[in-house]
Amino acid sequence: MPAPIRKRPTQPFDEFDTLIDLLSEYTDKLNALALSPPVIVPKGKIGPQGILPRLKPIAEDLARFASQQIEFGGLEPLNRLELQLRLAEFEAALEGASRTR
Amino acid sequence: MDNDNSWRIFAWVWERKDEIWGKMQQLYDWFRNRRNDDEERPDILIIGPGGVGKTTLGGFLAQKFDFFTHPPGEYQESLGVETFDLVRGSEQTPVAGLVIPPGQEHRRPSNWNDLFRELTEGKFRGVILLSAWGYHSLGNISYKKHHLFDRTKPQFLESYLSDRRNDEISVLKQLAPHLMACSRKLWVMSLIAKQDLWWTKKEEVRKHYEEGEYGAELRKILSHRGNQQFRHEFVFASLVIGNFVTGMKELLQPNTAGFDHHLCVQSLRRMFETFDSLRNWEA
Repeated sequence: MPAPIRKRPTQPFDEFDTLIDLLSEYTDKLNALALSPPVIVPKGKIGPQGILPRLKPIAEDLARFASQQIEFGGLEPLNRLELQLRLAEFEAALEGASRTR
Repeated sequence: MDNDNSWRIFAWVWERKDEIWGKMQQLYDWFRNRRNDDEERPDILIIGPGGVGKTTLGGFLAQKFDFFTHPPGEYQESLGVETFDLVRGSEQTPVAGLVIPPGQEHRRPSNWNDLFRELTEGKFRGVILLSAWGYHSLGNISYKKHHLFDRTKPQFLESYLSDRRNDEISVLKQLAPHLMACSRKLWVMSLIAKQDLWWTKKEEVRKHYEEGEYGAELRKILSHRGNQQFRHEFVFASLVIGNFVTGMKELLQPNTAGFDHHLCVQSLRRMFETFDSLRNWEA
């Protein structure tokens, strides 16, 4: 059964839902990357080891974007908490992937 | 700035390079001064709200940032605790460290609490508390999306600077109990940065920090710990010269006309002189 759609009290800024979705999606991807075993890839192909260096700078920018919204954006308290939680999970996943890769 | 002026400033800096370099060497000598090889000298904590220039200062002191040739890039919020090793000359052996936690309010509980415990336990020889008269860099957010924006840019800037100054005091208040409880002799340098942005109001700025709530809080710490165990110094400085812009490239305020590299280097010299006096006090 699909999870019920939660309705936010207000739309804090245009990209809020996109930001939450992106953080969740890449938290999962980074966690999976951290757990994936090292593989030998043929020359010219990119294995899991090659993905993180490409993702990391952009992932850090995403974290900074979310952080500035938490710090300064006009968020309702519950939205702020939600974003803080998502960001904490995302940064933990990024740190975990960076440690293992 | 015209070419003539640029050359005059460059010539001024070049003429004084030995003096500036000498001060830097003294600072590194101090950092590396150990009683014996086995003894680890405590680190220096650089703390303050987000966007005041902590990473710039750390990079500058650790020689990772050459402010003569590399003007500052855009503001990049630090996501975790940064450390800079202080090394000297060709040895490149780390001799002491600078520890810089991120300053955003929502990052403080997870990053500051352990450092406060270490501060109390005597892990740090000194603390550099950075403020900027409210001029805290904004990252990737437009001022129009800021919760303090109401109608106009001037209104926003006034509200923002006031709000950030309150946060500077709040940081000092969070730090104060740990400075009081610290188990070792400790110095604190209050470095009020971004002088190029508030240069025309320097007397107001001085009063705000020295005679206002900020100064009162420091006097409480001093009276609790006494002159033998605690030393505090103010430094008003500009680490770099730049306009006050958001991460979205919106100009909030240009830097003060007339605040040139001459004044910037003079302010850095005062900072090194203060380091000198703290070194003498520590000895």
